[in-house]
Amino acid sequence: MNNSGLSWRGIVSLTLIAGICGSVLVATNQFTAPKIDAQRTAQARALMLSLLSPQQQQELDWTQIENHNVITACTDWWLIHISENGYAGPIDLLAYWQTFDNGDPSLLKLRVLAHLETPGIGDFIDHQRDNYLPNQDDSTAAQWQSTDTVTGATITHNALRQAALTVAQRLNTQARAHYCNAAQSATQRTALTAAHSATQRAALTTTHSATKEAEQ
Amino acid sequence: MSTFSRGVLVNNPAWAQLLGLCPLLAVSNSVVNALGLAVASGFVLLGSNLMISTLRHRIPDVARLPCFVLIIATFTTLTVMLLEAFAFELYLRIALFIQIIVTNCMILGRAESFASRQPVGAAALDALGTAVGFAIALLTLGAVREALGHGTFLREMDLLFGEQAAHWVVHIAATGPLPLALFPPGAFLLAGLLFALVQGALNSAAKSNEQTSEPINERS
Repeated sequence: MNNSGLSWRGIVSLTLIAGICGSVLVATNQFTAPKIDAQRTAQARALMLSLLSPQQQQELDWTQIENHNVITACTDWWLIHISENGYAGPIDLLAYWQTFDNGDPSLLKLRVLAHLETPGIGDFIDHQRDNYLPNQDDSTAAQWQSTDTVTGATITHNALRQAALTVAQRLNTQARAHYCNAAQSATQRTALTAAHSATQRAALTTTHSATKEAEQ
Repeated sequence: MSTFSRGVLVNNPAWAQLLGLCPLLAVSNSVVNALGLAVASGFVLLGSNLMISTLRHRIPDVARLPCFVLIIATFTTLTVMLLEAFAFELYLRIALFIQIIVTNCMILGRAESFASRQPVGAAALDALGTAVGFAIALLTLGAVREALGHGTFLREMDLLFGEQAAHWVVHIAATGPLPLALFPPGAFLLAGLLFALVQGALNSAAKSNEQTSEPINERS
């Protein structure tokens, strides 16, 4: 090992080592990133399906609208992907929001997609390890605000409360109407564009045929 | 005694040097979790030992520790990426403990005391011996804790070996006779008992062979 201190040779060596390490990481990331994305998408999809009834799953397949992390068929259910600050970093959540036409308060189901909370203490937010979140299913956002904090995990639990509040705010009546109106407009625009293109194609074909006949 | 067998037995990082205990105690609640951590730690240990030994004449002495940590962090990140890509369910369960391999004093210890002073071949043997020794400790503790806590052996092996491995599970009892074994206090108690048992056996063997001239281990 070189004992001569951090001379210019040492700096070159450090740069070389950092370069090798960085290159290896970039290459591995290029190789694994598509697979990791596919795994995360599959996990989110499985979680979404687990929150929906069979009828809603069909609606998800046929008429889904995806806008700002909101997925819906503009019927009575909404899925939203949100992120809240936990104790050790962001907590990624998937929320199911059930609305009612008769004015009853909307019901909420929360599931955690990814988190960095302390193992053991923060395990209660992982639905595969603990039934805490499934047991809170179909609570309203107001009920979430009045639930008791989990001892020793106040910040983690506050993140769940905040998530319920965020969902209620982002999916209020006006926001839902906005999402569905925007989606309808987009659908109409697509249909109009398709019809316009078909008309143009037909007109061009007719003109072309007429020109050919005139030439003959 | 060879470099390899010294790492496995008398200088074992778990029961002789008591290094790397945080992930060892946290993850060893089942055989599959223990095996996942053992493979990940072994990969990082072997990769970092080889790279540090190869570059030992280029690493400036005054900056050796940052260099070691950089190299160990690189291999740890590689492991995390590969685990997330190819064993996603297991990644979700033990990812946090894989990430703290960066600060595992077992790996930094081998880099500082051996790989940075020895040729590549010896460094590889030392890494393999240490990794096998750590794996034996992890798997033994994992098997005992799983048997006492869940009443099973080799449960959820499909997380590592695919769907066909789901049938490898052996049911020893209907329920775990000692659920405490799955929790951190149980891990401490069982690890202490197991390590005492192994140390007792090694000391008896050493006395019977009258090999008193060689130091038993390198306690840190």
